[in-house]
Amino acid sequence: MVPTARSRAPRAPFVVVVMALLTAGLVGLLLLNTALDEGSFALGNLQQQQAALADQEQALAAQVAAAEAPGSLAARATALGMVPDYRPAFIKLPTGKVTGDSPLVGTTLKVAGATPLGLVIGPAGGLLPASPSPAPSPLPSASPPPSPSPRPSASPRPSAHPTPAPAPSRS
Amino acid sequence: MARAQRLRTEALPATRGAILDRGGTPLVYDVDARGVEADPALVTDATAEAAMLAPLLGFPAAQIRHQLTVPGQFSWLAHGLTPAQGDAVIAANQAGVYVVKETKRVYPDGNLAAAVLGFTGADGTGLAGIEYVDNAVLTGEPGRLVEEVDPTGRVIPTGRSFEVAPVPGQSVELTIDRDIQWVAESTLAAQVKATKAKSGMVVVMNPQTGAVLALASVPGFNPADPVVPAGGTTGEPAVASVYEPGSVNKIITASAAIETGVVTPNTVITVPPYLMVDGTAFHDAEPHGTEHLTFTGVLAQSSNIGTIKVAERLGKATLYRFLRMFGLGSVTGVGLPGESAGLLPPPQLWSGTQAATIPFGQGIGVTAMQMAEIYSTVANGGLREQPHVVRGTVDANGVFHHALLPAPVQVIDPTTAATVRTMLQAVTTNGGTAPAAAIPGYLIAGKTGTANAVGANGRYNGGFVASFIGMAPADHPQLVVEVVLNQPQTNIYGGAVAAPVFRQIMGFALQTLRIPPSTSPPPVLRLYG
Repeated sequence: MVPTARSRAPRAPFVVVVMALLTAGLVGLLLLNTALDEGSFALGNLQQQQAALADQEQALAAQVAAAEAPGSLAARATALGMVPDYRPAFIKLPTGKVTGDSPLVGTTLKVAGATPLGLVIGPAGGLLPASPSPAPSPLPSASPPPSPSPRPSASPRPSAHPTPAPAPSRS
Repeated sequence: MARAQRLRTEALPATRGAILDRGGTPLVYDVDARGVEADPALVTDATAEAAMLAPLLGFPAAQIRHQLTVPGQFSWLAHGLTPAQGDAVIAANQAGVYVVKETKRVYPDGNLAAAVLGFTGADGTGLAGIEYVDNAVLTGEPGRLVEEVDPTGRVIPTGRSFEVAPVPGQSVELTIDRDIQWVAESTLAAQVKATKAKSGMVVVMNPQTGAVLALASVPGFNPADPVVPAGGTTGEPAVASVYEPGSVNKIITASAAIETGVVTPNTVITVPPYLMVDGTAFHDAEPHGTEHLTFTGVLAQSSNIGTIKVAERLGKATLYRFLRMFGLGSVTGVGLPGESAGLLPPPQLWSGTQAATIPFGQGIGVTAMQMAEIYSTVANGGLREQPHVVRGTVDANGVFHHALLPAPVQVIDPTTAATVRTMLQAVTTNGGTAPAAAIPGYLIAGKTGTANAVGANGRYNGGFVASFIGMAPADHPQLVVEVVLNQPQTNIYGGAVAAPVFRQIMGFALQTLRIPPSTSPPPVLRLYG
């Protein structure tokens, strides 16, 4: 009887493979952890940026809110030389007849275009100044359109700049 | 234990709700802020640190140094800094000085409606006004963030963490119109200054709903730094301050007389130059001979003697019934703290002269809010709506929930109310006491009042409270405006000092709310018989 040769599988490659696997696993874990930590650093940085931007937005929003407060607007209007006029007056369209508390009551004003929304409300004389306005108008100067086109009604608040006609708004 | 060392619990503060005007614009809201605290035990060089921090905090170095050297391990250095200022303090890296997150209330409109809004204390709890009344609604619930952190404070990504989100407070939407409020405050302040009055109040109300569109009091205060002003208050005088109304109260006497039918608008009343009641002589504001005024004329010229004679036909018990039905002697429930029910004794306790003076508004105590409610009732066809300053709440999802209000109460018949409104239009004509309240193009009904003011000792102090309360358009009123000036010095008459302010505020309100001029012709009113 021949003794069975014990197949001595080479153990070195097995050990190498296992070691390699282990090493790969460890390196992988290390890389994963490093990536996660990098991500955590990046997250921290971005969160800081976000917080800074949020603070900036808050500061700007506060500036806007303060600027649009009625007291602010009144002060700026006074600085432009305007005076408050609390007399309610109305211009009935399309005839242009003036009613309410105005020295122009009973007269008819020429209105450049009709709005389909009916009454346009504003301070007496606000739509047609007696003389050409010296202040530059912020709206583009417009000749009346050939046919009435729908446009939003003028703001009910006294406008800061007298406009020659209800001008079309550009959105 | 090791994990416990790594765990950091961060409180996540809940944003306090904002208070908005009726258009949804915030009148007060929360912003992120920073506080600076110190641990005096860890401070190394108080003088040097105070010098470093003084320009960053905006306080004198001596004050900061004091806070850095108090005994113990905690003291506050500053509150309400902007995040940028907080970052600067962190960068300065002073020993024993720490920056914490907090929130701050911001008032973009300055002192506007300060008494209505109220203010919060250092811990963010409401102490006055709507901040106090609706504190539970405005306060959110703080959250919690628990994380594992490394020694430098960075979060360990594979560590445990859990978060309980904060629940933000709900916002409260008021009935106040920001623009009408501003006009009311600025015109009232100008008149208080011009007449050298001690104080003033304005109430603007929508009679059809009871909504308070403006509530102004002068002097006001700064809600961001609520110091009680000289001669002023941080409360709301329109609900808390009790005064004798004077002739504006004649609207109740008139309503009672018309409703019970003891007189009609054209009933002629003989008005002598003086009238003896219970041993006391009563006069009118202007001396006159014996006049024959219609009841309309009695109201237009605010004759006390004419009013006493009509009230005698009514009787004490009936007059008292109408005074109570119109709300005197009860709080209005408008929703502001510190509201007074006024002073209205029952008729069995009235002195002999009180039976004569109460019909023209002396000998009883009222609040400006009660008077606005009375005129709103007559403006609204005799139907008393619940005065209120809160329209509703806005939850975290932006959904608006209307405030629930009690059902209205019919106090007088609609025809009585219409008759009284017609009579009161005579007041703003040239034959009345307040032509200065007239607004061309509109029918205006109202009443003046020039009442003896009561001093601190409960006795008349020689000053007068001048009022005008009016409604427009008189045929179908959509607005009631009340102006009260406390002890004006230049002129005491309501028609002279309160009526012009009424005209400005009512004019602006009609314009801004787009209420068109009256189309009915003015009524023909007979003042003399």
